[in-house]
Amino acid sequence: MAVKHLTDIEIQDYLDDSISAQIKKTDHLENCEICRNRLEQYRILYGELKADSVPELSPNFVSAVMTEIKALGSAEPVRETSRRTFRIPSSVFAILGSIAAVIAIIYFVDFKPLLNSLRITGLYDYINGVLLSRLGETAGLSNFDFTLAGMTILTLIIIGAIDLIIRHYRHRTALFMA
Amino acid sequence: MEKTQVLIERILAGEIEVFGEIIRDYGRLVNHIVYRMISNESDREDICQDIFVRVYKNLSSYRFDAKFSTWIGRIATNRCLDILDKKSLPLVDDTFERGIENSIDIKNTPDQLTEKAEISDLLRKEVNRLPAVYKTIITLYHLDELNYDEIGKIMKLPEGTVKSYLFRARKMLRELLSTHYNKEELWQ
Repeated sequence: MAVKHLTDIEIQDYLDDSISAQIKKTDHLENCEICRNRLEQYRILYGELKADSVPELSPNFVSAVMTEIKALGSAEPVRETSRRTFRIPSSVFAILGSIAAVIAIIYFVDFKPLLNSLRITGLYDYINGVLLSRLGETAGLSNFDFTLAGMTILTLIIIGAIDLIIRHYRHRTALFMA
Repeated sequence: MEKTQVLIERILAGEIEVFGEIIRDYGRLVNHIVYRMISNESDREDICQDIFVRVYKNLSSYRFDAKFSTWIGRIATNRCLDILDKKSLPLVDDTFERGIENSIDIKNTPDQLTEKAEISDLLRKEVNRLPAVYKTIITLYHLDELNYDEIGKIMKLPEGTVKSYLFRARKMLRELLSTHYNKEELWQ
């Protein structure tokens, strides 16, 4: 029967003092040399990581900070709450930027070729003639250009999605930088 | 009342000099975060200084509902992220795992590297080559003895992610050791 060795996670749990791991793994470790060796490697690693040293701050660090603080010229720390009131969330800028982009697209881009190409495929007639006219009748807006409105909404969604992806990527990038 | 709370209340009451105590108590934590996240050695102490000035300025917003070490660690992490973001430093991609395997100095044979000091030196170099988030988590866990929850709050990461990153980093380092040394060499 094949022996099921402990995984790296289980051995690390064991060394991190997870009680359930201690109870569960003790028997196996007593009988398995491979896992015992790996455990010893981790023990050495843990010891080294705990003994790792980071250069100390310079001896005059405290006085340097205190000098700077005194130079601020304020006897009391600044009240954070008063500044928070004026903070505008970045999402507001993102939405405003997206709206501005859509307006610019609608103003400068000629949608006729795109609409014509849709007309050739028959998709335009289907959307405009069947789906949107039914929707227009239901909403009581027979003259409203639903195609343009649809394109606008679609563009807005795409820009919003791109903005979200970029912001998420920037956050992760910062974390993973060396 | 806890010592830190007493100190903060004295500072807020106008005893600026007491802030020196805060710097002495939490300088090590801030230094560890900055050291691991900022690669430019000459910038580190200035950044630590800037972080403590920010801590002082925002001290009145600390509400005592979180641990002070977590609060101050968060300010340090945010400052480091801002700096990294502004400098647009090159992204460390996932090739670092391959890089770590090829990073041993080929001039040294296993026989020459059996000394414990050399193993420590090798590990220190390899820890420094890890992505900033990995080495910061390792330092906060093993040197500052913070738990997953505290590290997560400081690094703005879910507890599970902290645990996963820590396991992954230690596994990589352990594999590095086992690849280049056998058990007997490690024991010497």
